[in-house]
Amino acid sequence: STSGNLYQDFAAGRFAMLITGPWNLGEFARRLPPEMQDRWATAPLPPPEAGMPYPGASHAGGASLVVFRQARSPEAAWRWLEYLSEPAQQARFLELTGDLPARRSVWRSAGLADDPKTAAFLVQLEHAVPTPKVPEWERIATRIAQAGEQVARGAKDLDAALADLDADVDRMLEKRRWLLDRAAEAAP
Amino acid sequence: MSQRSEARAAWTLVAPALAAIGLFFAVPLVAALFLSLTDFDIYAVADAGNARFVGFRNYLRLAADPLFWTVLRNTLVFVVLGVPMTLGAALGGALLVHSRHARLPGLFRTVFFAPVVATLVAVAVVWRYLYHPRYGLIDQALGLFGIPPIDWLSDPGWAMVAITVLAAWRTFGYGLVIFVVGLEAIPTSLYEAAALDGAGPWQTLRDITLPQLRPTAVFVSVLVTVQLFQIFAEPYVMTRGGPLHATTSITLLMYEQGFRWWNMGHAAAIAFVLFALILATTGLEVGLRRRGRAA
Repeated sequence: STSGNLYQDFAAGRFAMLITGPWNLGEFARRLPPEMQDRWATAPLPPPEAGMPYPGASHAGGASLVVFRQARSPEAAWRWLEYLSEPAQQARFLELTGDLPARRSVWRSAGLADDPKTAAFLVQLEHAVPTPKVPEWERIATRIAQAGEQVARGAKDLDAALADLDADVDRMLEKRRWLLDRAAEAAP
Repeated sequence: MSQRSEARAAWTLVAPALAAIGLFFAVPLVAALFLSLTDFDIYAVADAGNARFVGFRNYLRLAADPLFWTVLRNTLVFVVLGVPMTLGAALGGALLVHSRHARLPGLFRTVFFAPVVATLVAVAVVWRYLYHPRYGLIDQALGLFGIPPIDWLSDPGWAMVAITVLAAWRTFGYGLVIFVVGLEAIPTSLYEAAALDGAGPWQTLRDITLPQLRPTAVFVSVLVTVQLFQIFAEPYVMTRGGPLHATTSITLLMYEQGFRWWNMGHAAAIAFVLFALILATTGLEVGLRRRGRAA
């Protein structure tokens, strides 16, 4: 619901689980009462259907490190990204922010793979799929969530919701197809 | 002064205002109309050469989009539910504040007007708690009568009512102040004559106060109608248009299309549909007023 405190409601047992990311680990450690600390755990996402390989996919969302095409010195920017991605810097970032690193080697050296609460996220990281790098993605993701809400609340059945979602997303991408076709014609 | 030089003086005097209206109203209006005939979007923001002229396609797509009809219905429900609610609260409050028996009328006028000037985002935090099914005062009060808690903002059936109540609460103070002015303008001789004829308080209200307030009521209702047709901040802050788009208004849909997804052409088409709707409705209200006067 809308304005309750997530951690208080979880501690009070008003809900049993939620889908979230590693950024919440520190908050749960800090905000849940000490007697709760041994009574909660993390797990990778289940697959969409029973019998499918475990775990299910998650999406590696966001692109926080980018180089602009029109950057003044793209080589320097790229070197900076390389520096930030080095294990030493990732370990320091983990130390400073608690945010989990993207590199496997840092997981091992920092002992994250041995902590059961973070280990689930390492398993999930191996089954993460990047989101499509198109400007329409944010809108499509919102539309997917709406379709999910329609099915969850019983406003539409699954097949109808999927058909409508498919038609809407196809329409959202019409402009992109036109632009790609035009670019292909211009450069034979 | 000759008539011609008088006319020239008049034009000179209104010229600055006309120029401002032309620059800030007519030009954007024409630009928006043109925009609504294109598919100006996020790609065109980067390079205007990516925009296409599409004729009336934006309007045709709106007509074929079930979401648009849902949103249109929502907006009409906001207006149909909210205008009587706001008008009733404003009139009732004005009668109370203006009553001979009222104590501290100045204080109450200020109190009732306070929501109009309060920042909605701050107010929304309080209202979200009021509507909360577990911690909210409203559901706790209902619980005293054995009514089970209602999840006001997450129930598609109730969310609209909850948002309309908030919108009415936020605007009725403005109408109230105008009604108080209208009440003060009613000549006391009418009340004296009514008292001499032996009219009771109900008769006085029905036969003198309300008919005399009619022009004020039309003015306030036009104002509230236009405001409710453009309702945006309340659903944006409270529910983001959810659940299941149950509280998405036309303006909220236009905002999302235009400034969240950058479909400016599509958003401009929505704006023109809203423009036509408001024009038609206020025209109807003013027309009703004229007919009422003639009768």
